[in-house]
Order: sequence, then C-alpha cells, then structure tokens
Amino acid sequence: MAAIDIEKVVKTYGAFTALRGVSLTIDDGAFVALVGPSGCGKTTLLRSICGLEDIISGEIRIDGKEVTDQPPKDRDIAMVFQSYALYPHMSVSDNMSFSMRLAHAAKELITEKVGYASGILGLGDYLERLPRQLSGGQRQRVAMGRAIVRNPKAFLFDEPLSNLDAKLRVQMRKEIKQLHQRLGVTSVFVTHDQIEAMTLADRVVVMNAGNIEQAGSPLDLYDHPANTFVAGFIGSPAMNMLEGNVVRGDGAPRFVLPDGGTLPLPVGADLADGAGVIFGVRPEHVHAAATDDGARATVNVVEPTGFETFLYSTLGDTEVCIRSTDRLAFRPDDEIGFVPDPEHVHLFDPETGRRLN
Amino acid sequence: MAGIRSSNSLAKRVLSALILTVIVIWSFGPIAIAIVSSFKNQRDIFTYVPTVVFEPTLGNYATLLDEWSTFWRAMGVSTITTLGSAALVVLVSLPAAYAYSRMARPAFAISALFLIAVRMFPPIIITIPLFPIFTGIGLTDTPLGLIFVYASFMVSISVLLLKVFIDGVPREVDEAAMLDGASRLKTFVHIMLPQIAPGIAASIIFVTLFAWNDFLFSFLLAGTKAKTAPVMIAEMMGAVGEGAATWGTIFAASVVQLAPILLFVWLIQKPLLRGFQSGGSGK
Repeated sequence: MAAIDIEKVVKTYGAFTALRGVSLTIDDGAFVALVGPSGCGKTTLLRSICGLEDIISGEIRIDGKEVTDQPPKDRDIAMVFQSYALYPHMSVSDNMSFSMRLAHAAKELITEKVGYASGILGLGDYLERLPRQLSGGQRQRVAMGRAIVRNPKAFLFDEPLSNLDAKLRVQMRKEIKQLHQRLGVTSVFVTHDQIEAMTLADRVVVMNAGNIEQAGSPLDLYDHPANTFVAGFIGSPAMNMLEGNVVRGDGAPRFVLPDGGTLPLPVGADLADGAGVIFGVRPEHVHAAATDDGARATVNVVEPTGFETFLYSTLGDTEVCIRSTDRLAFRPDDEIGFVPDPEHVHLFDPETGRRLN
Repeated sequence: MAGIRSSNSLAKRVLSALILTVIVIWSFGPIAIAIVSSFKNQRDIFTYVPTVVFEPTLGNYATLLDEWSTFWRAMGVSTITTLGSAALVVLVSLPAAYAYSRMARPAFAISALFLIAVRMFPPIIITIPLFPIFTGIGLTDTPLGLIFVYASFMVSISVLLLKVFIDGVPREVDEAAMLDGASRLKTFVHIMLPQIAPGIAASIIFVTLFAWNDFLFSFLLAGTKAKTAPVMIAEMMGAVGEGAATWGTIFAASVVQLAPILLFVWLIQKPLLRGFQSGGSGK
C-alpha cells in the first residue's frame, strides 16, 4: 500500500497532447476514480502511473519514492485490463502465481496466496482451467486474483467492467468495492461511466482534454461542480443549463431568459446588472407547475419509471428535464411552469464556464 | 421418393470417390512407384505393363549401403544443412519479427517491403554473383555456406510469418507480464513463445522442406565436398549410363531421402494443428 503523487505530468503523442501538466495526490488506501469522455487522458494517466507510458515531463512518486524513470516491472503495481489480458496458455492458478514464480517465491507461499485470492473471488473450483474455458465474469475475477496475489503497492483498473453485460457489471462493481474495503489497497479506477465512478470511489477525478477539471468526493462533485463541464458530466440525466442575463431591479436580482421568462436567483449571488450567466439546476431540483409559476416550457416526452417520472420539455430553445417522485399527470404538448428550487441553483460564467456561486 | 434420393446420393458418392481416386493416384503415384520399385529386382522395374506381383528384395538397399558411402555422406550433409538453416532462421527471424510487430517505426515498414521484394528475384540471379563471394571467403562447397544461403533465402518469409503470429498476441498481455515483474526478455520467453509456437513450427517446416529438397543452390555452390542428397541422387542417375549405378539403387536412395521428411511432417502436423486451433488471444 502506498500513496501516489503525480506532479505536472505532460505526455504527448506526436502533435497530440494527452496530458497537459496533470497534478494529483492519491492518498494511501484511497479509491480514486478517473472519469471523463474518450480521449480525455484518463487511461494515459493510469498507464503513466504504472510505467507503460514514458512521460515527457513531470514527476511520479509512489510511496514517496520517485519512479518516473523506472520500468513497469520495478514499480510493484498491479493492473486489471479491460480485456483482462490473461495469459491464454496458463491455467487460472498459473496466471495468478506468475509474478510470484518470477520472483522465485516458495511453493508453499504461492499455494497459500493463490488459495487466499481464489477463495475471496470464488475461483477455487476453476484453478486448473484455462482462461478460454471461463465466462467473462470469471476471467475478470482471475485478472483481479492476479493482482491480489501480488499484494502490490496499488491496484490500477483500466475500464475493467466495460466488457461485461449490464447485470454482471453491477455485481462486479459491488465486488470490487467490497474487495477494496477488505484489502484497503490504494486503487485507481479508470472509467467513462460516471455512475461507476460515483459508486466505487471515495474520490472522483473528472478529466477533460488532458486536464483535471475537478477532483473531490462523489457528492461534492455532484453538489458543487466547479465548472460547466463537471456539472454536465456528473449526474444523469444531466444538469439543465440555461443561458441568460442577470437583472437587478428594485427587489432581489433575477435571472432573465432571452424570451423574457424570469427565474429567481439564489440568495447571496453577487452579480452585476446585465451580466451574462449560465443558470444550472439538476432535474430533481425543478418542480413542474400546472400554474403560471416559473418559466414556460412545453412537454415533449413523459417517462414514467415507477419510483420517479422524467419530464422532458422545451424551454426556449433548450431541452430541459424535470425529475419527480410525484406521478405527474402531464401529457405531451402541455404547457408547464419550470420552477427551480433557488437553494439548488448553480451559476456559471458563460465565458470561462467557472462556477460563480 | 426414398429410392430416388438414395440413388441420387449414391451417384454423388461414386463421383466423389472417383475424384478422390484420381487425386490420390496423381499425388501418390510417383511416390508409390519409387517405393515399390526400390524393392524390385532390376529386371522387374521397367517391364511394361508394370508388374504388381513380384518377388520383393532388399538387394537395392544392400547395394546402397555397401557401395554408396558417398550417398550416405550426402545424407549427412543434407541433415546438417537442414537442421542448421532451420535453427539459424528461427534464431534470426524471432527477434526480427518481434521488433517488426512491437516496435513499429516508419523505417520498418519500408524494410518489410524489401523483405518481400527479395523473394521476387529468381534464385539463380542471386546465386551466380554469390559464387565469387563465397569463394573469396572460403564458404564454397561447405555445409556452412549452404546454411547461410538457405537461411538468408528463408528469413524474409519467416519474419513475415512470425510477425503475423506475434501481432495476434494482444499487447496488453505483454504489458500485464511486465507489470507482473517480467523483463522484456522474460515476457518474450514465458508469455510470447508459448503462444506463437505454431508459427515457429510452421516456419521450421517451410525452411526444412526448402533446405532438404533444394537442388539448385547445392548444385551450384557445393557440388563436390558438401554435396547434398538431391544432387547426389542426380549424380547417381548420370552414373546409370556408365553402368556404375542401377535404377533400383537410385529408387532406394530416393526412398531414404524421402523418409525423414515424411516422418517429420507427420510428427509435427498434429501439435501444429492443435496449436492453430487453440492459439490466439486471451479473450
């Protein structure tokens, strides 16, 4: 187990810059998820940590020791690949013990460790099988077993669940979390699925275009996104974002949409009169009113899911979503009032995308 | 209905049996004649219509053993040159194929084209200028010289073949091994080699067939002291006219020359096919 320090890491492939001076500290025993769209640099960052990519500049320290120029084999880090990358010609048990056999560990110790890992993962009956004789979920477990046996300084996961079907994915997600709670090994998990990142990690790092947009606890990111990118990326359905201007009349300042509709601004928002602003509010923090309240919107689609109902409507030229645990009785083409809860409104600068409140 | 169908399928079966018979006679006829004739007395070999029933004899093999030590020497040279060139080809083309597959550079792509281009020249064009060079460095008429020629001729195809096999091993499997603590060399030995074994076997088969059966290079570059079996057999055919050799002995010699290669292909085909079926990625 170890802490991982990443300092101003830059990585380029020809003219393409994959990492633009990324800095991140991963505490000992933490479970960190790197999340972002394709090409954001999350996998490159992961591969840089374990030495599969040579970085152009910057520094990586594991357990306080600089490893920037060390080859992967000397970093003592285990990785679970998306394709599992099992050794196809070796049995499950040989797959798991490969690293120990390379290190000339004692036979009894190997048997003990493989037994321990296969016990945790429920692979005891499959030790003599070859990878091709296993199901996808079992192969995934072998890949994790290979990591557990080594007792490494950190586990890295590169989208390990994306090759599994939806049901198995949820189950393995839970197992990975339990595994981390049990072993407490520092873990870094790359995914493009924000739900996976939120549910697994105690710290989520949102990346975009080779930069870290924001790092924080899952709920911190959800409740206080630092910019429009994080606000739009975290949460499903995505946060509603409306562009408009601030109007400071005699009373409290209000948000005015281009078509004239107005919405109340949160208390304490210190904005100049006429300033452009992006008004963000999550679907569950909007109330659909049958009355004249709020901004006017037209219902497009109603999606009842049982526990809650999603109401997709058009407000001006923006599609907005309202999420309610009430069983809404609206129908397509109904006019509704879009009434946000002012306490849960996020304001962003339309130029920089930065959070204003 | 049933009657029509069965007569229909009978006709089909007769036809396919007929086609198979033609193919078998076509491919195995000459071999069968060589094998059968090697057990015939001189007077039975060229009778027309060929005799099917005859008194078998081991006399031709006895003559070959007693009087043709030069043939056995040529067999020895063939064995050494074949094993040597197969070993050299594998030794050279494995790391080359690994580099082509795993360390791709633009320059490599151009040189890969060159690998194919080399194969397009008629062998004789390469052989003739080699003669003075070989004489200059003392490789003419030596098994080592032949090994170099065979190997350099087969390395290109072997590199391309092995590259395809190495390409088939997912890079992530290499990377997993490196993270497990293996050096590049250990990854190659423990992870790569077992997975590309069928490719290595296929490459060995190509080189072996080529080197064992070659006539041209051996005839031109090693016609005297390092004569190989095919050249020797041709020489024995020349000796028939002078009454120094008999056709029976020549047939016996060709069976002896054929046997090891048949045995080799038969032995290697099973593990090779098994390898092809099970080989590939860990997915």
